Amino acid sequence: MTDAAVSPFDFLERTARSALAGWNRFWFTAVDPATLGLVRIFGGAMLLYTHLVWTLDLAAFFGPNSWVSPYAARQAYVGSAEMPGDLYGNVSFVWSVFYLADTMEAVWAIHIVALAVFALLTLGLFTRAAAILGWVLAVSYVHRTPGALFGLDQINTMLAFALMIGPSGACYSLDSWLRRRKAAAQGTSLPACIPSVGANLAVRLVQLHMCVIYMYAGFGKLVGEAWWNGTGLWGAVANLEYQSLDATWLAWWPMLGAFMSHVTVYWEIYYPVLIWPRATRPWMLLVAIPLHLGIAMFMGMITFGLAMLIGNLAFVRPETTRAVLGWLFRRSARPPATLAQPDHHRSLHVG
Amino acid sequence: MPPVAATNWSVRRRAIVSAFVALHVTAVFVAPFAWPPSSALGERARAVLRPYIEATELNHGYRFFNIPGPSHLVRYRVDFADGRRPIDGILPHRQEHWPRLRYHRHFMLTESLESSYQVLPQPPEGAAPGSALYEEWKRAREELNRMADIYTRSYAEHLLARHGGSKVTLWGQERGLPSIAEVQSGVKLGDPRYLRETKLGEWEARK
Repeated sequence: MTDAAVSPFDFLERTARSALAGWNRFWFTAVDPATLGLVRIFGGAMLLYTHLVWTLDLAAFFGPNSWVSPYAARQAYVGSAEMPGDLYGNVSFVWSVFYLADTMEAVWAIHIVALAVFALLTLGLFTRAAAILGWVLAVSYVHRTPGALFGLDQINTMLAFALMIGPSGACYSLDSWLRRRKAAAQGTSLPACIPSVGANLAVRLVQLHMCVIYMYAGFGKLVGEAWWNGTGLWGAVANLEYQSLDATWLAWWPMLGAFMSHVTVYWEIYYPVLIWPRATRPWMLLVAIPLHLGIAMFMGMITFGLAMLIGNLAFVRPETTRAVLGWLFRRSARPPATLAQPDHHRSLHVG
Repeated sequence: MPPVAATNWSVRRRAIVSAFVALHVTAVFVAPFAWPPSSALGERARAVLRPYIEATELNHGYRFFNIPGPSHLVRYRVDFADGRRPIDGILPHRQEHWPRLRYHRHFMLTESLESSYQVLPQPPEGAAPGSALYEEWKRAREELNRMADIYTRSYAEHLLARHGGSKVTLWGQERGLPSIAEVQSGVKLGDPRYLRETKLGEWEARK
């Protein structure tokens, strides 16, 4: 056994080198940006729809006399600067372009720009600029309307951040189509997509964020009794204000309700672990679909349920994205010829 | 070692991006870790990272439906000095607030108001003004309900401005959840026996 002769320093050096190599593989492997492109289309569409709905109540939520007034919005965030042990005094680092808009004309101007930006992001036109502006605007809306927010907004801003970090317009975008058309006119050809480290970084950030979200969602459910005694799901379906489809028939199927409650908690808690190995990832994603569609259909949070599924898309391998889209649109599912095929799972040494 | 597409990024570039990634991922983790109730360690970590957490909109606990409980609504009445009939309304309103996302925004207004109350808006039952119990409630209310008071005043002023009223009255409603056994015995979710109402206050239009 030669390992017995390895000194502690050698062991530490070897471990450090291995960790560094793992870090490099995890974050800095160039990948096919297909999955990021798909996340952009769905995430952009969700941002567009979410903000389009604000149009119906723009004055009521963003005007000088809004439900949450400009003063109340700022005060809501000052409170978070007053937690114990704070190092920065009573200073809030929350910002919004709406803080500069004190007339409805200015609010409307920002809103119209925002809708245009989210539309460009969805289509993938001027994508890089649209993605940066998209994140700035998405955060601006959120910081102006504390009190009217829920999980959807958290996922929206998470997705907008990732789309800004990576080349989200490299695939399935008008930018990409225009680039190739221009090259063809010049007698050259470009690959559909070029492998990119930025695409990997963006997807990795969404993946890790989703793990954190599910982990705390699961741990949070362990606090009370409801998710232990199997009535957690009942608490959700028996809430009339959330209800969009009547699921009170679950009262006559208490074992089913308890089973679904327990599955929800176990699935959320183990998501950060079981989503990575090759063997369990498809099963974890498979459970995500009925879970989030159930929230969408029965609890009236269609947007939130779909946004969570968009977040889960980050775990779909680019090859799978291409294969599915190729099958759907009857185009070649073959990845770009220049693409080396990194293996997410193997690079993590877990699959 | 599996074949990977080697990065063409320089060591310096990777080091800078690694520092950013470490900061971001730490902030993503710390925000819910420090969500109340939290440890001194969590609060300290959040305090250090607060500028980044706040600026990048990461300050969330992700405790979705962790303790399923009653839902909260706000009923309002706007009165007019010129003798017009008062306007009554409720937040959220399924028919009025459509599509569903719009309904949910209004629903969150009422849920946020409820969660910002740390002391009941009305004095404890039997606590007469001037009594020790009443004074204790009043002191605690002023200290702890600051944000709830800001929200209720903001909602009231919105309604006054929107309808041109002279006075607005708000009531908070809490709808309890019937148990499985109760629903099995025929109770409906909208059963009025599960609805409790508390007056939040009256506000006059500013002259």
